Amino acid sequence: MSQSIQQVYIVDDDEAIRDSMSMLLETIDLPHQCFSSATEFLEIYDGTQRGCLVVDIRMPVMNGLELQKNLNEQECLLPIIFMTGHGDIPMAVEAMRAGALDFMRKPVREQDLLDRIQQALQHESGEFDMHEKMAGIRSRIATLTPKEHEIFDRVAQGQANKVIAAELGVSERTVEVHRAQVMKKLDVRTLADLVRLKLTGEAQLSP
Amino acid sequence: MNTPYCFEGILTALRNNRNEEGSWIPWLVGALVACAVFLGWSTLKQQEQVDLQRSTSILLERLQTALARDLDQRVSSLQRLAERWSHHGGTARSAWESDVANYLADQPGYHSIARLDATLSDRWVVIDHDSGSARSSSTDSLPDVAWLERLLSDAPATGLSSAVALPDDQWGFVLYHAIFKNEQPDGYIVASFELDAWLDFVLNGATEELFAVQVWLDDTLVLDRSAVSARHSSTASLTQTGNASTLDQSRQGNLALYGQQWRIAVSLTETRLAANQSRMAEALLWSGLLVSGLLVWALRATLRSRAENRELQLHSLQLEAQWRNLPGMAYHSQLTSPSLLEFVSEGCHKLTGYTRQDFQTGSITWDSLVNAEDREMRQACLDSAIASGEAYQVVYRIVCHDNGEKWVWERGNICDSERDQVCLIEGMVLDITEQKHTEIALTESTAYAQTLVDTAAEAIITIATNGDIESANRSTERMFGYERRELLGRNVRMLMPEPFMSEHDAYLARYLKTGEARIIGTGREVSGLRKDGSVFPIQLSVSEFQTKEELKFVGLIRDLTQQQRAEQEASLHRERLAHVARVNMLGEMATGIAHEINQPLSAISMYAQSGLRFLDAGVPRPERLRDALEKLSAQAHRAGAVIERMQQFARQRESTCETVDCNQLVREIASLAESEALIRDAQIELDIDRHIGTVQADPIQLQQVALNLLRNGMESMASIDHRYGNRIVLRTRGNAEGVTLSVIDQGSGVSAEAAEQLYKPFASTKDMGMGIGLSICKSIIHSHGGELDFVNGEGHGATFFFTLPYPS
Repeated sequence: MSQSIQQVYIVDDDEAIRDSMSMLLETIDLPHQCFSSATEFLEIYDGTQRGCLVVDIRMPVMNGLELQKNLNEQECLLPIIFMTGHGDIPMAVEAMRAGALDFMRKPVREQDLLDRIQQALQHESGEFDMHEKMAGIRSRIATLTPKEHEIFDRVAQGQANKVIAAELGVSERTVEVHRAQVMKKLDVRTLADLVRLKLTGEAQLSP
Repeated sequence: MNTPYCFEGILTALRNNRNEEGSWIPWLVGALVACAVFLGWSTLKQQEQVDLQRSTSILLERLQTALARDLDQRVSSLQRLAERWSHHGGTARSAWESDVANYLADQPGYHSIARLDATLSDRWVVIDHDSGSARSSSTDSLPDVAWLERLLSDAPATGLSSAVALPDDQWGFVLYHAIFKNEQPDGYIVASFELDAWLDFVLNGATEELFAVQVWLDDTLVLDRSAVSARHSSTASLTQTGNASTLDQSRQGNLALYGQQWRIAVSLTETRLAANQSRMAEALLWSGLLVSGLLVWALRATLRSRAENRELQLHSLQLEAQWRNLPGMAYHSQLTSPSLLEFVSEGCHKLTGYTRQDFQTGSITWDSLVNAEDREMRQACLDSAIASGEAYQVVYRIVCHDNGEKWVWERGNICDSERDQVCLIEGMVLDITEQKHTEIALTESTAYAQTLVDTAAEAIITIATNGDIESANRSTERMFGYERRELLGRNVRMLMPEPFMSEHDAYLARYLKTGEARIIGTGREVSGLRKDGSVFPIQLSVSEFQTKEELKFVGLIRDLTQQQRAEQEASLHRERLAHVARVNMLGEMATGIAHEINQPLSAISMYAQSGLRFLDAGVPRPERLRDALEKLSAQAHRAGAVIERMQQFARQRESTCETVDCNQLVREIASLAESEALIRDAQIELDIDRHIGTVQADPIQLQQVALNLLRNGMESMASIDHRYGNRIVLRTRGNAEGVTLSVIDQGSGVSAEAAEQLYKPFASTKDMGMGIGLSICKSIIHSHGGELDFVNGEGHGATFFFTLPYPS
């Protein structure tokens, strides 16, 4: 998480396209980086990159869809804007289904492209924050002992202390102590916060 | 052990004797028979000897026993006499005499029997009157008293004296027996024996003629019956018995009787019987030898006649075989009845299907076999031969037993038979059907060949080694515009334009000298010159043939004017079709082309936008602006180049013939198909042989072929979702003959059904295909003198390749 600057990663086998797009991004002072093939990008990608990808869908050796698949496997959060020289509907559908942010036909309208890039960056920013937040929640939940986790689950499901104590075969007092400990570890003050935190964490755990 | 071999030898020799080789056989047989006869004879002889010896021994034994037995009998009878005397105590002399007379009558051989009293003085003598000596002697024929006393003095009661000489030169002996009267000695009975008569009686005639018998009593020879003539002469018989032949077979026996030693010798005499036997044996021997001689002669004669017979048979067999091997038959018949064949050789069956009997018995006549059309001709021939007495020969047809027709050649002559002074026709008939057929076929084929030459569309010209035209067919007149008489005998160069016209003689000379052929044996396209001076393309092929005398050349000339026109039309047609195919292909490639043009267009658009933004930003950065514009321009050119290339590819134009570097061609193809490869996810690889030469070809058409193959390959790989990979290789290779360009894909390969339809126009395996791609490709490559083909890879993939020859 050290690299916090958003960049546009351009992956295209056509030198002219890379160069002209690079010049276009330069006009709005957007940081960017060019790659002549998918593999070249995969070589530098380590999960810390932020920003978005503009990828030509047709490339020799490894095409855009394969790059997307590879990145998805690495749980990459970078949104991808695909570009293609001609309208290839099946490929577009496949790309969108695999989570592409957008699909643009060459020649693109430059303003559209820039708008999409800005959107993508914003989207990535939100995603990133969300991801960060959830990572915090998850790490906090991870600090719970198994007993506390059990009580956390039951409390979040709305069970009263008395019921919990009866079912677990402990005293109500013990439940109360554990519950206070859970609230403290998770840094929540109200039951509502606790429930929200649990939902958020679970949503992340099973996307 | 030897005999079987001997017989074997003889039998073998008899079986395959040949003239002189077996001539020793009769001699051997004769000698063997003679030996056998001699052996038999000698065995017979020996057997005879043995028989005689045995009978001699038997006789001797018989004599011995007879002697002993008789003497015993006489002794016992004397005893009985003595007993009677003793019993009665003496008898009267008359009684005694009658008694004794009975004895004498019963037993011949006695000389006398006497009773002597003890003093020996009183003698009652009874003489046997039958005995020879008794007849002639006096009554007192007994030995004197002194001798008797001496004899009886110390002798036992019964005894025998040694030999006593009787009167009349007879030998005798005395047997005596003492008589007792009342237990007192009362004299003796003395019987004197006439040896000769006694022995005669005892031996009972057994010695007659066959044997010589000699008897010794106490070493005194008392009997000698050596021979009839010497019966009474002991001296004579002694000399006779000295004969070696009889002594050989003599047997002697000794026996002791009443104190006296007897010796009997028996020997064979030369009797008639023995002589007969011997003569028979001799006769047997000689007749045996004679028979063996005869056998030799007979055997020799038999063998010789057999050998001759065999030779004769061999000759006749050979003759027979020779006749049989003849492809025909021989015959003779009498002149008076020429149709009845007296003799025919065995070949008649093979020739006609009828047997010899058929002909010889007259059940079929030769005339009837002759084809009706030829019968008259043959008869005429025969008649003239008879008239002139000369030999004749005639060829005609016959109808065989199976109704088949055969050609035969008959040759015959009229001759006088030595045997019975009749005129004979002797003839030989040979089957010449095959020759005749060959002859007919030859005639036909010659006619056929002539017709062929005359009606051929090609000009056919025969020339001699000096170039002079010897024959020319009708087409030659038509093709070159000359009449035949204008051509014959003139040099063939008149039919050629320059430079051939002036060089042709040199060509011929060089070929005849070195054998180095330019046209001979192969065909070649050259030019011909018509009478009107026009030059036209011809296909000329020349072959040589050797006649008996000289070498000749035959030229076959085909007018190529029409063909070339047709070829040109076909070429044009092909060009148009190729163009259609190219345009069609470009249509199919539209997506790729669009992509290829979109790239520079996108870049142009972005460069332009960037430039605008630089301007809008109000911070003019001329160097940035300039950069953008320059790049923009370059991209515009790039797009233009793509379009230009497409246009070139699609343009309809006449085919050209340029020098093409196939490696360059392959690179251009790869770039043309690049965008499509990208769309199809295929990877084009180049495998280039840098050392290939250039070929003469239409570059656009070659591009079309290569591109077609490349696109087919990519399509094939895509159709199976790149199951075996997405690499497609463009390979160039060169060898001595030319260049090979291959497209190696990793697709599904070509199925058997697809292979059948592969080059057929308007047959396609693709959904949208027109089906003219490969057919036009093949036609293009053919027009370049090359070949287009494919091989399937192992398991998957296919390699399509074409070869182009180097320019000759």
